[in-house]
Amino acid sequence: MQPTRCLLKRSVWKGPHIVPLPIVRPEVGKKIVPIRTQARSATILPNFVGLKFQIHNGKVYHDLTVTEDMVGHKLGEFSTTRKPFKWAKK
Amino acid sequence: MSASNCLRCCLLRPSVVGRAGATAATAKASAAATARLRQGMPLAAAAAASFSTTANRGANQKPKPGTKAAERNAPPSIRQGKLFTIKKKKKNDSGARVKSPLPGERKAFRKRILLSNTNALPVPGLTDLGAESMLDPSNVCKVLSLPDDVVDQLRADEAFKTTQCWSMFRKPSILIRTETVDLITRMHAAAKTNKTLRLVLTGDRVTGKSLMLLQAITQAHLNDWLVVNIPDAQELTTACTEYAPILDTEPIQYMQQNYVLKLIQAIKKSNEKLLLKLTTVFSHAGLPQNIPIKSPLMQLANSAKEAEGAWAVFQAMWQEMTAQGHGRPPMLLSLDGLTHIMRISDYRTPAFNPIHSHDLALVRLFTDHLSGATSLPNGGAVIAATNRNNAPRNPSMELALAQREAEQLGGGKDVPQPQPYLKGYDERVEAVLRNVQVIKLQGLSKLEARALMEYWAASGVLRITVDEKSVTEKWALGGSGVVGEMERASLLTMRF
Amino acid sequence: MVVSLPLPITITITITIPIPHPPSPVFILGVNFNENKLVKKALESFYALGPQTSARVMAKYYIHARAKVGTLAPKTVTALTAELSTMTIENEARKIVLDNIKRLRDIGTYRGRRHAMGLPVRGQQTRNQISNARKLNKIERKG
Repeated sequence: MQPTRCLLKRSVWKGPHIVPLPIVRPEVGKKIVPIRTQARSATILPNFVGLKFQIHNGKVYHDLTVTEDMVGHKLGEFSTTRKPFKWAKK
Repeated sequence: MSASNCLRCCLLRPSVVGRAGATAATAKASAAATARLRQGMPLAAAAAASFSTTANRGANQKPKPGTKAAERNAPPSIRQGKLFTIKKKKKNDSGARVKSPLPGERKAFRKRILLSNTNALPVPGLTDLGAESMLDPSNVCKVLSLPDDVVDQLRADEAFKTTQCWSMFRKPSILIRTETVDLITRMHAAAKTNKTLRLVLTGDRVTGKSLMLLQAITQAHLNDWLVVNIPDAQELTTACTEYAPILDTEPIQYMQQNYVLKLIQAIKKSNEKLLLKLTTVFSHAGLPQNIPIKSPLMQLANSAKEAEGAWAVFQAMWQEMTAQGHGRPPMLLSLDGLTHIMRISDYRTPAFNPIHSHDLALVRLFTDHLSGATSLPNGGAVIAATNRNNAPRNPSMELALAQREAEQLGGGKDVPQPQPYLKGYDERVEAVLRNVQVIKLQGLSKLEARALMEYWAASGVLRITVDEKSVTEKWALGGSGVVGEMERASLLTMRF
Repeated sequence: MVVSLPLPITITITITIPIPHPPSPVFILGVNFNENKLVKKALESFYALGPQTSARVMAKYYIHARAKVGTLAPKTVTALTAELSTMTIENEARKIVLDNIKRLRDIGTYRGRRHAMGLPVRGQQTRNQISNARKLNKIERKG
């Protein structure tokens, strides 16, 4: 992929779309509490890596553990909003 | 209801017909028709001009039912509708396959130049051009033919164009115009005083610019000048021939070796006699083969056999041809298609910057002579003709030529100025055209037009009486005597 | 002045045609090109080498726009091969595309999912006209 491609999706002067999320750094050894959110358009920032999210798809919340690869994508990309089409079974 | 034999009348009820028939005669006729109707006679037999004969034919030619003929001839049933059948394409059963032309054959056919047509009538009293013919003002409005050896030289120079109608006439001949005499006189005046005539031929489409250039080249050949002609400048700048940088040039220039090789061969062929006579006076290094001093120039020209060393040979030849004294004749350097060398070329530098046409060495040679930066030491002329068809947009050249023309007419105030908001002016172009002479070609005069048309008529290609009326007609059709348009109006309508 | 034109008219034409010689192939980056092929077209036959790049490569070696492969000097041909071998073309370029698709699939994005299903990726309708997506959108994309 071109190194500049990520610049094409949004004006540079705007910066990434940052949404204030209730991020609490989990303490080491304790269970990670998932962050429940409806902000599908929030950009995944590098400091999200390792956190757990629950992302709304309009109906339910999908679980997601953020990895390094996901930085730069939106939260919504990982929570599908459509039901796969299937022929109705009689 | 005036037509008594009209069938529609017959089909009407008798009472209506009787009412409608105004005159006694028509009433009588229609009464007869209705009488026949009443008697039950067949309608087709009654009326001579019936509008349908289908029923009649069907009644008369009925084949026996059940036969094949009956099936074939049976009228299609109404419900069937119309059938559209496509004929099966017949294969070429003769076995001879049509061969596609060989590579280069189409182009050769397109570029061929026919200079003689044996079907055209020889024009009585047509004389050949002499060395002084085009200088003589009394020859204006005369058509003179080109001598055969000059025709060969012109062919080598590629001075003939495919768009000119040479193939319609028995012998290539040209009309002497007032502009011709003007141009040739200037050429001679310059050559006599060892000066260089620097001139641009311009004018609208098909006004005869290329032909005027041909006349200049003819004159040069007739007077034993050296001629270097670049027949189509487009070939130099549209990136269709090889290019390579010349070392030790700043800013860097580019040579076009393949084109130069072609040019050397053209020079060799057209100036054969002179090149055999003239001998070298310099020693040249870096040539493909060693040329000793006092060997004929032809030997030097022959040493260019491949594109590899062609540029070096061309430079050596140029140095020799323009050597001062040593019995060197005047020289004509001519170029057709000035518009193409007054722009940025399609070539690119290794850094992908466009190359200006004037950075191409051969073009530079021409523009330096045209601008007067260098001159021909033995006198001669540098003549360029603009082109109007297939011409790139070129505001600088247009402006410069318009300015020179206005200056020559003596209009101090009327000299056109550059438009302040127009982009694309080029300083280098302006510098080249800062002090050149300009001849603007326009339509022919009526006398010239008449001379030309008489020649056409005598050749058998114009089959009308050439008189005041027809000349005026064609002259007007040709946009007040634009020669190419006149040709179109009177000759090319018969093109076969 | 009326002159009758002699009919029928016949014109004999003689044309000299350059004699074609059998084409000898030229190898650029191991690929065999007919010598009558344009250099531009030959270069653009490589994957991930388009008009822009080919124009620049040609300018770098003083090859004019309408040059044919057969007219290139052997030195230029080797130089071109060397130049092309340093560029990311053909399999390397294909691999980059594949890697990008694979990454999307692996992290579980919507785009990766659509690639895997062979459906349009960028929100197009899927009722009609998705033959290109059917053809191309795959995890192991070809072409």
